[in-house]
Amino acid sequence: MQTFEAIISLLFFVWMLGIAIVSLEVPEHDYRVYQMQLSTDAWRVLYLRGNFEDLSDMQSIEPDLNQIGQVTGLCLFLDGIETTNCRGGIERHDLSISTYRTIIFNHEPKTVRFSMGN
Amino acid sequence: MTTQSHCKGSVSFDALFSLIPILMIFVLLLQTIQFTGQSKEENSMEQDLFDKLVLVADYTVKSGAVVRDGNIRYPNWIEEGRLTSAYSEDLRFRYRLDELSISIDNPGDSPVCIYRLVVYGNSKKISKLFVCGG
Repeated sequence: MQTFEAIISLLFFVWMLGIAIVSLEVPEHDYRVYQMQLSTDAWRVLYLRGNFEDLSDMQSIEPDLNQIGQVTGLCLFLDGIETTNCRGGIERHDLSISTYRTIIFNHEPKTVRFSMGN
Repeated sequence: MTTQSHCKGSVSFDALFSLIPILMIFVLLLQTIQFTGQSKEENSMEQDLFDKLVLVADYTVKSGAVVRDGNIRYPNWIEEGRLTSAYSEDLRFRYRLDELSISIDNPGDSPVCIYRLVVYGNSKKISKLFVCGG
């Protein structure tokens, strides 16, 4: 009987401890909306600079991608037309945001994955 | 009679010795709760300030200080002339901030700064728009 009571007490203690630990946890900062905005900014800047008006070769977009990289330190990847401002491949970087966008490439609509990372 | 009082004394000593660690644990728990509460409050205030700066920056790059052509607005294309101190002051008052500065390529002295990527001028030069506040 005493063992049974001890088990119940232990379970109750563990349950209370769990509640205490969860309530003591300090939530982390949430930067997701801001990161999404930065990713949209990069896309808008590329658009405003006329990079998507007549995109027929991927190298024409690279100077502006490099410029964005120099100004912000961000890595941008256009997966689909294989263009980036960071060497070493997409898998080497910590990507925070990826979105799918449609561009006109070689006079054809083409969906690319636009990713941003550090 | 003697045995009974001896037993009573033992119970009191037992209680006393068990009470000390209980009190120590209780004090430690209170301190931990207080510390965590402070951290949570600081964290919440920092997040609140960050969210306000994000809102100010988003309004500025989408509408507040963008190039306009009639009714058309060009998000992320900033007209420098619109970034006046009156503009910053209006937003500072609206978002209930103690201080706020908005400028291109020049982060202020405020403790928290965020940036947005923009272009400005006729040449559409790529730059950072800094929004700093406290």
